[in-house]
Amino acid sequence: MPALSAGQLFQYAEQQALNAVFLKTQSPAAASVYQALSSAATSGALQSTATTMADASISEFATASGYARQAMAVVAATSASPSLIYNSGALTWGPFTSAPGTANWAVTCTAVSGTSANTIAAFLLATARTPLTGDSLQAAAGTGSAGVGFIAQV
Amino acid sequence: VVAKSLVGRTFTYNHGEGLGFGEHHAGKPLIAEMRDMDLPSGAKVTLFAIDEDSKDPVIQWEDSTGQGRLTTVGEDFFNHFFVAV
Repeated sequence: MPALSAGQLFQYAEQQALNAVFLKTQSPAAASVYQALSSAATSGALQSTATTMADASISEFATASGYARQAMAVVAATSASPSLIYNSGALTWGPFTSAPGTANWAVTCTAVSGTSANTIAAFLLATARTPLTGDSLQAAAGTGSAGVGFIAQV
Repeated sequence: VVAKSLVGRTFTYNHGEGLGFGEHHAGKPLIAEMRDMDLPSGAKVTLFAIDEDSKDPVIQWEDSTGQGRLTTVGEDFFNHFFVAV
């Protein structure tokens, strides 16, 4: 199975995008997307063929630690080639009620909870983070510049 | 189990000793940076969802910087420290 690189779409999102731009189907209705945290290894663990958060390769933080996926607002895709989309505001997870482990990835998905949520894109964190009990974990708002924000492109 | 019918309702986080949510669980004062991002006692929150898997409540609130946050709260903790407005 193909491993993901930073900012890459998952298979579910690739299909949604291609079916929409080739006018095969209507685009999905506008809705919120959510940013999850994953402790999957930085190399070779996260698979682009994982279509839902139930996939064993995702390794999402446990909600028993106070963790919850965060609603993520994104900019409109930029008028450029390659076109980019990224988070328009900062995101903060926690406060954690127990140490949740080490976050290596952020994974965008379609629902605030549940393993049936579809996966959209994966982002390798610039630095792995290991929050302690009581801590919050914050990611900066995106700017569209390389390395600043959760930036995805087709 | 916290009833799904309560989703959308407002609650107040009331800690008897005035501790923040993270501070309570840490069992010690938080450093200033983390304290600013903690849920303080007395804060208003909205029950945003019931986690599909754990059935624990997910609350929505704003931190001291005005940023919207979602946090999962253990059911027992929610029933003890969160009071419906």
